[in-house]
Amino acid sequence: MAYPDISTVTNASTDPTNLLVYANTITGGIFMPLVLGAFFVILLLGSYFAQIRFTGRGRIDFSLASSSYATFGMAVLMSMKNGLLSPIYIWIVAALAVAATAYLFMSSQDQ
Amino acid sequence: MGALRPFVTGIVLTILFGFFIFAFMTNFLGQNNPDAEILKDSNVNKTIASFDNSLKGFKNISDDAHNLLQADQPSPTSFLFLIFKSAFSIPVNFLSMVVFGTKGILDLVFVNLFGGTDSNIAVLSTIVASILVVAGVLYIIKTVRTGESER
Repeated sequence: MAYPDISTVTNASTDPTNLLVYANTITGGIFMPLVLGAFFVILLLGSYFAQIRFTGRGRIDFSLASSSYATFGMAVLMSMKNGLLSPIYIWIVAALAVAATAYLFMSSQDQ
Repeated sequence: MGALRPFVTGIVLTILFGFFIFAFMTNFLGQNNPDAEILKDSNVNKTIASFDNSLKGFKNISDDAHNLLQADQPSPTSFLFLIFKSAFSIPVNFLSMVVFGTKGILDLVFVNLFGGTDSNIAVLSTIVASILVVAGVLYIIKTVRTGESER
């Protein structure tokens, strides 16, 4: 199926986010969610292995909570531009943040 | 977890967190992008409003205490009455915040994840709520039997 040419992007010099909307549109709305997912995974694994490196032990619940909060913030920023992120992905990230918080508070406090 | 107090604390803090992130999202987008698609969902505003109502009970008690302290002639009788009133109303407000907050978060998240009302959503949210209720009841029984509410 032919996708719209990049010349159809308007006002790219004044609003570069139109280029991201274009990239998201031609990929069927999956580009920005994948960026969000990559952001989450990088933060999760990075914080977990950084804990192991600095303290000798890693708490996956801490890493899950902090990465989900940052990903939620990124999702809210992405939703400032219409067409960049579908609302369903914001709800997924919000649900993940609430679940990670519940897991963090309910997890064992033994150190 | 493993005792009543951390479990209750965890639930209350999770509900407060849920309220704060949804309120942040709606207020931030309301100011910066009022045309955002996610704001067109009426469930969000209804849930935020119900959270607000739950938290207003605490604000009313706080305002009453503040007004009594600011009065020209503070009356010990009024303070005593406020203490007895608060001893009843604060636990009730906590309970309503937990119940309506849990229901609001579950309805908001599950309905929007699965796209509209459906019997499966009611089943899912009922399962999650039931797990929390059963865990709470078991912890209460453990606390009553052993007298221990700390881990």
